[in-house]
Amino acid sequence: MIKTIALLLALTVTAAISLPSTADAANAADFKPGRIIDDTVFYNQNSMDTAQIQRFLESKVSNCDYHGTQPASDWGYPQYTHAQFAERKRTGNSVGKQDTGFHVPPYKCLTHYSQTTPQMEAASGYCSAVSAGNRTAAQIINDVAKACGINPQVLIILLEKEQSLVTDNWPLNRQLRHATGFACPDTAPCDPAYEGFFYQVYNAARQFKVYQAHPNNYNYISGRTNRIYWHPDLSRCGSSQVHIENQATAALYIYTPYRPNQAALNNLYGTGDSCSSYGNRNFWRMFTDWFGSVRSNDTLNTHPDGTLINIDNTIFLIYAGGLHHIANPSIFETHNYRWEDVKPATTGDKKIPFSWPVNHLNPGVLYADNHAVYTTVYEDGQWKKKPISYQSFQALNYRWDMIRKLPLNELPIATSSSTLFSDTHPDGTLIKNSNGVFYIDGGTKRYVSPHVFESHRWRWSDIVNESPGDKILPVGANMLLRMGSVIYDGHGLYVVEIPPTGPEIKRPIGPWDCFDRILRYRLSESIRVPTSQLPVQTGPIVTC
Amino acid sequence: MFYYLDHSAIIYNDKEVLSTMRIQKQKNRFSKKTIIFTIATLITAVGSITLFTLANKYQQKSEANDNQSVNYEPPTEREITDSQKAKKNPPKEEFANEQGSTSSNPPQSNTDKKSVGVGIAFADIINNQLEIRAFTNSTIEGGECTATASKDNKKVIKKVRAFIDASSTQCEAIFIPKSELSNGTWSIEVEFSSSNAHGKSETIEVSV
Repeated sequence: MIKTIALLLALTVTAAISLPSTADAANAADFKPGRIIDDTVFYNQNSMDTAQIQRFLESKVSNCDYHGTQPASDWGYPQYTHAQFAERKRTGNSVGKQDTGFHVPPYKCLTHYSQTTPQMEAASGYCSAVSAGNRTAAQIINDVAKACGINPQVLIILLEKEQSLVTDNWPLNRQLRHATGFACPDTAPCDPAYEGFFYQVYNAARQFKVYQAHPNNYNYISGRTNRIYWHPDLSRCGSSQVHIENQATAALYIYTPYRPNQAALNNLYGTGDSCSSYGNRNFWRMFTDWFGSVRSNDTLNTHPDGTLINIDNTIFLIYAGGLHHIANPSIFETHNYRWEDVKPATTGDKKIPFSWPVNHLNPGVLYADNHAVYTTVYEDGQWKKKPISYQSFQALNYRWDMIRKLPLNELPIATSSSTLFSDTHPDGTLIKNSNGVFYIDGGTKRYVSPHVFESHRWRWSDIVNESPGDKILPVGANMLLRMGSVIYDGHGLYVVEIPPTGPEIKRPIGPWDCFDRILRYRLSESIRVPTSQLPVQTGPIVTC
Repeated sequence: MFYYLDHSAIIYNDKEVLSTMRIQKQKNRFSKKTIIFTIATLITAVGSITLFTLANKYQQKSEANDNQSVNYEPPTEREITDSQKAKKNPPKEEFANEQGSTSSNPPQSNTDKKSVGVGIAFADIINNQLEIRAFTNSTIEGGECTATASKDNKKVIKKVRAFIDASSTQCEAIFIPKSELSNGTWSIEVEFSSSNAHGKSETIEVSV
């Protein structure tokens, strides 16, 4: 018993001590060159407010040497104050190489920094207007982040990786002037037109939005395998191929066009070798150390056409750039949708505009009220119920068990002026003859292959024998896979899309993390399709 | 009328699980009541002290953000050391002056100009055309980029404008219709030239 108690005590203490302290420290193995940070993290403008930013800045510089009175131990000259050291440095007086960028106090740490900021007009598609005023550094970071839709944490990291401004307790004016490195290449002077703390923060944020708004106008494009160099010494250090998975990563490479080599990753908090670059490594490492994971379970991308999504417990079909509300459960059911098809909406999905609702039952379905058995037809610009005569019901080989029991209030209100009195099945019916299964559509018979049958979730009990009238119907094009189907040919995973015009397309899905964790597909919902039967046209990759 | 998902079945199942768990706990409690009480008291005492300390320490973190854990800890020793690196790196304006890269009288020939690196960020066949993306590693200055595709004795040359970006000068996208290129392997090279700078990329190969 004593052993048990001791063990429990030990476990308790161990568990308490090993509670995650803050953001977990970065692990080089987690650095993904093709996905440095997720879009929904990068563009999350609401991650912090001004007070939180100010508190964060103060946590990193608790002893700002505004007056330069602290010893210059950080430069190896504890006998001088920072102010004295700066003066000697400026004049080249026995403290190493002369540097005229050093100056007398004050040294304005971000915790103490404020400036008059100009009126910035709205930049259409990039940033909303920023009013003129007097702002602290935290207010500038927050207001620019909110105006431009960039995570303020991204801006904070930019300030640190470019000029160490978050942790420096006696920054020089030139560090503030070139705060985000905007228009400051690695081997040339900064453009004076963009100098100054506010302009640096604003222009960097705005530029990230420009990259997002015009992704094809810049060198690195999401969804492509790009050539990324290791180091500004291009020819000596060479390059590598990187498949860039998302826009935020493309933006980081456009801003800083190098990736860390293995030596830089092996020594995550230090230096690598002569071909190491550190900008994007430090961005990722600092973000992880200070703000936690660069990963998110969300994406700014949308699910492909044909996907059912759930927004606040309301179900929509994505199709042709619109969200189509599934008007009631009967409609959902007669289209053979399944609850497991419904994916949680991504942030990207939620930005799709609303379009006309899906308010019609599948026309191939039979249902009844207290008066008659009906099928569904589209007449006079609306969907109506069309009664089926008893004679036709018999002649068309319908069975009583094929009639769906649907709530009356979910049936079409309007009734067709005519009754189905025919020996030809209406549109939407599955028939079979010696050549296989066919789908009646637009007055033609369209062949249904086994994998197409499976993709539409039809049931064998839905099929009726070909009627005399069906025999003389012309044969149309083969039926296509259901829009939104996940298909697999043994080599690749695809989603089927059927554009409003043009042929069906297959869109590759990847990478796995996106397929599984973010878009919430499951391998079990995929349908095996022979490679020869895949849609011929290939569309853009479905990714995050 | 909107249609809502029904989660009641999931909630009911959760309650069932909870009920089952409680029943099991009750059985154990009656059999070893005293021992468990003693252990629980000790664990609670030690755990409370430790957790109370940690909770105070990290209170700011939880207040800051529900989704991300912000690290409000003071800077590490390394961060403090690194904080001076920005000062120790040669200031770029002084660096540039030392290199003599700016001049009121722009040099006339490429050999007199400042040499810059040119990188090819992308070169491949997309939508029936050879697409080339390139940049310089330094100069923020407008200029001209010239892409040359070579195979055997044939050369296809395209010129585009170079524009200023955040930390480099980028060439506008260069497109060469596939119809101008015969099948096979083509060598691609991009040259940048402005009033003050000049550079040439490595040669890369693209299969057409």
